[in-house]
Order: sequence, then structure tokens, then C-alpha cells
Amino acid sequence: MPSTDELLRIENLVKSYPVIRRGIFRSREVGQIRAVDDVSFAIRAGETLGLVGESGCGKTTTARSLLYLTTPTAGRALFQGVDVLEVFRRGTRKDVLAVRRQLQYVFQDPYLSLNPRWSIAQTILEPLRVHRHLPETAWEGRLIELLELVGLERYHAWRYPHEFSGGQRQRVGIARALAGEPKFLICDEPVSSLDVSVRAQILNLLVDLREKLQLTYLYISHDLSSVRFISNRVAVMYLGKIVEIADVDELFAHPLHHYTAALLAAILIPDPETAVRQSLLRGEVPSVMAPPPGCRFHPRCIAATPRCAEESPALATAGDGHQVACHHPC
Amino acid sequence: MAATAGSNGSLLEVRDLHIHFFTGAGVVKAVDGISYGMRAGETLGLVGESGSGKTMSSLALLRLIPRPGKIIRGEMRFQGEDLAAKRPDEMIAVRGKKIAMIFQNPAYSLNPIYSIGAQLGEILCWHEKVSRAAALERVAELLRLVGITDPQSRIKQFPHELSGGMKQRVCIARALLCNPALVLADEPTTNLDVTIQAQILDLLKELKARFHMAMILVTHDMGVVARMADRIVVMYAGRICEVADARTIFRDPRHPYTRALLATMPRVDQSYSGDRRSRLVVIPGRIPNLIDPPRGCRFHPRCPYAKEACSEAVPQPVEVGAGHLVSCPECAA
Repeated sequence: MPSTDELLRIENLVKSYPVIRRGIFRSREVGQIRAVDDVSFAIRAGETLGLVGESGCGKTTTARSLLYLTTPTAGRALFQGVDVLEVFRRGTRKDVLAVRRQLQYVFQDPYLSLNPRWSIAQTILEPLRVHRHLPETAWEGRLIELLELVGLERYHAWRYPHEFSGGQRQRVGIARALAGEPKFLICDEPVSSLDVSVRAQILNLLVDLREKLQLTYLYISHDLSSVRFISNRVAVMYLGKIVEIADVDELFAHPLHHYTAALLAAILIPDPETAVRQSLLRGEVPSVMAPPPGCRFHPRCIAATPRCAEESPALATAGDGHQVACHHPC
Repeated sequence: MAATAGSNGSLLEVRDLHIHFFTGAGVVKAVDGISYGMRAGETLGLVGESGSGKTMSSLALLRLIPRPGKIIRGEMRFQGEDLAAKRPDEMIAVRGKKIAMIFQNPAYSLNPIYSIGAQLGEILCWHEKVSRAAALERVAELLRLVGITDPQSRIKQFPHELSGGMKQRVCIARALLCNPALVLADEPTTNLDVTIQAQILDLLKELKARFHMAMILVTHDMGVVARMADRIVVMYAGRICEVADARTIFRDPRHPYTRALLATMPRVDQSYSGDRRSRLVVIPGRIPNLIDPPRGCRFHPRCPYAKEACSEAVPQPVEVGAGHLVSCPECAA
């Protein structure tokens, strides 16, 4: 069960990219894309926070900024009270490695995230080579342990990625992430590139590992059905901002933000007899280079008023653990 | 224009279609003896995972199987003519005119160096022998129909100037240019965001009724077929497992693979948080290698009900209800 202790707290995270127009003689900055715009949330130990949103809304950038895989522009990320972004910026290699061991990443595409020239054993043992937290005599035992943990066989260790199916590769990716005994795992669309019949295997594995190893997940996906299965709480992002956070059942039953409601209404239920819900959205996602003023969702929102175009709503508490950034919640 | 139906009232009859790929590693039996039919105006959902042969069986109708693939055997009777027996030059009159296609990735299926008007107008000039001006007028009209505002200026734009949802709308307009009797839509919304997906599916449904066309919808997403299809063909490893109307597939699936496919997906309308022990139903194992597929029923190594006989005889479709065919003697009995 998730406890009440916060494991990770993100405060005012910003990541902006300069837009540069290149001329023959000079280049100049013509604007900024705020991919992640003042995002704050907390994850309790043992819980899984689902982060959902459409492509380009900043889900992955948020996650990558946390691990300094992309350099965040501003903000803090407190992991067990320590600002890890500060450690990444100024800490010694030893400090950085200590943080990296705790926070690991499972990538979206298991075809691109494994080195094709490395055997599975090399891939899984790489974190042990880097962190040196185990004596070399213990490596083989740890390798076998990790393979069994993710449901692979011992003989798989000497094979190469091309000999594996997508589901097995994702198991390798998970084993690699677990090698340093992390507390916190970022799972970035871990099943979206897998076949339907294999997805359930990987999702079940993630749930099993969460229980067995007391892991905490940040689970990023645009697929709301897998988010519903695996998450305790869900945060919804739109154009770089978090618009709503709530417990999973609360969010799916009583969405307060109109974007969340529209997102839920757009999901296709695999049942021909469910009533087709009227689409609650108009238009498409606007460009992040010129986001609309005020509430970023107002040009597409069915409940927008003039106030929405002027004043940007802050994320405010609306009931037990439910936060929403909207002037006129559902 | 309504589609002209074949002699027996059906638009398309595919019989015993085999598509093999002759690769260096061996012969991949991508489609291995599939038969199905469809009526004019019907939406047929072709469902399966990657490698099930669903895309190849739809490309076969346009005779667009990429090398080293070949149609080995089979008949594809469309409006009374066998598409498999046509000469390549005769197929030109079919593609885009009688059967049109909407591809999975709109970004790749539009030509980046021609304007929207030029590449869509060309199709009309070719098939309908109309003037360029008349063609552009018709293109603009169709762009408006698919929900593109200000079509006169869009005609002059290039694909990179449009968003993903817009490009797919252009591809839909392109497919409808010549009033085809049949449109093949291969994962038309897989690359789009959920909110755009709903818009595109609504549009397809509306246009299908308006143009009285039939549609084959190829997808792996059971949610999409539930929303769109009248009848559903479930494919696995190059063969058909089950054919039935949409309601029957979801309410009374008989084939173990269809059942597993429906059970294995997490449902957004179901709570999992009450019981933290809850797990998803899993289909064990993996999709077979089609160079050396399992003998007998291709699903038997992963099937919880498999008997010895399943690994010997190829299961034949058995009719268990009106229009409900199941290729599993164990479940049909």
C-alpha cells in the first residue's frame, strides 16, 4: 500500500527550448517553447503516479528533466528531501551516481534502447560496472537473479537483442533498470510499442515487481486504459501544464477539468453497445510556440468564458486529494 | 453513386487467398488460405496483431503486395471480376477509382514535394479525364466535406504545413475523390492522439453513409472496431479464427484467441484499484514465426484448451450461428 511519505516532490519544474531562426550572417532567438511550464507534483513512496496527455504535452520532457537526461531550465526535484537536480548540476560524480542508482528509467522503445552489439548479460551488468555496488564475484548471481525476476531464462544472458521479441526486450530493459536496486522507476510508455497480447504480460510484471521490490513508479502513457490498470493516482497534462491530479478511480468517475472529461469521452470502449459519447472537443492542440493566453485549453473548451482567456487558472485543491486548474470545473 | 453489387448480392468475395514472402531465411506464409465476403455498404473490421496478415490481405485487393511477397493462390472476386487474375495494367483502373486506400501514416502517404491540390487533382485528371480547373474545384469540395476549413487556400499548401489530423483528413478526401465502392483503411487512427482519433472515426462513419461505400477497417484496436464495424474478421498468424457480426464477436466470442484478445486488454471503464492483487488475463507465449508456423491450428501452442488433435489437423471454419464462423472444432462443438 502506498504510504503517506513523499518520495519525490517536483516543484515548479520548467523546461524551455529556444526557437532560433538561422540567417546566413546571424542567428537570433525568435521565441521560446515552454515544453514543461511550472509543473509541481508529489509522489508517495510505493505509489504509482500515471502521467497522461496527448503527444507534445510535455510528459516525456518532464520525466527526462527529472533524471537530467535533458537539462531543466528551472525548478526543484526533491527525492527523499534532497534536490536531485542540484546534485546533477553541482554534485561530484559519486553523488550523481548515488542518485542515479535510486532513480531509473524504462524506455518506450525496446528496439532502440538496447545496444544491438551487446549481449543481454553485458546490457544488464552495465549498471553494476558503473556503480560498483557489488563485488565482481557477486555479478553472476545478481545477473541470474535479475533474469529470473523479469521472467527470462538463464540461457538468454548470452543472446543478443535481435534474437528477442518486443516483449522480451522490454523485460531486458526492465532488468537493466532494476540492476542498481532503485527505489523509483520512470516507465515511459513501456507497453505502447508492444503487441496487444504481450502488453498484459509486461503490465502484470510491473505490478508484481512493484509489490516484490516496494518500487514507486512514474508511469507515462497516452493509453488511459493501461494507466487505469496500473496507477494509484493520475496527473493529466495539457500543453506543458498539469491540469488535474486525482486518485485513479476518482479521476475516471468524476473528472473536474473539461480537458480530462473530453479525453475520457474520446476513449473507445471495446463494446459495440456502449453509447457513443459526443465528442467534447473542438479543434486541435495549438502550437506550443504560441500557446493561447489565460487557460491554455480555453479555445477548445466547451465551458470557456472571457475570464478563461485572460487569467491562467492555478492548480487548486477541490476535495480529497483532487486538484484541478480550471475556473469553471465540471 | 451506389456500388454495383456482384451477381450474388455481394461486393467482394475472397476465396482461399495465400500470400507468401520468399525471403532469404525461408518462405514466410503471411496469409495462408483466408476466405471472407462482404456486402456493398458494409464496414468489415479486420482485426489482429502485428504479423497476423491483416495488412497484407488488404493490400492484396489492390495488388500492392511488396516484394518479395506474392499472391500464390486464391480468388478475389470484386463486383464480379477476379482481382487476382487481372493484368497489372488493368489494376490501374481499379486503384483509387473502384477501391481506394487510407494508409496508416498520413505523413508518409502524402508526397512532400507537391501541393495538396496538385497531388489530389492528378488522381481526378487521370481517372475521370477532367480538366485541371474542374479537378481542383472537386478537390476543394471534398476537402470541405472532410472538415477542412478554407479549402481554397489549403489546396496551395504542402503536407508539412498541415497537422497530423489535417493530413489524415486530406488522405480521406483523396480516397473519396472517385466515389470508390470500397475503401481500405489500414489503422487510420493509430498515429493520432485519442481526441483526434475520435474526430476522424466520426468523420469516416459519416462519409461512409453519405457516399454509400463499403469499408475494410484494418486495426489491432478492439475499441475502434467496436465503434465502427458491422462485421468483424479476427485473424491470427495468417489465418482467420472467427468471423461474425460485431455484436456477436463482443458478446459471444467462441474462438479462444478472440476471447483472450478481449480479456487481455485493460479496460478504462473498470476499476482495478479495489484489489491490488488484480492482474490482467495473459496470453502466454508469443506470436509464432511464420517461416515455420505451428502445425495444425496456429494458436494451439498458446491455447489453454488445446488438445492433441489441434496440433494435427488445420481447423476448418464451422458455422455456429447465422454468419458466425469459428475455426476451432473444439469450441464450435
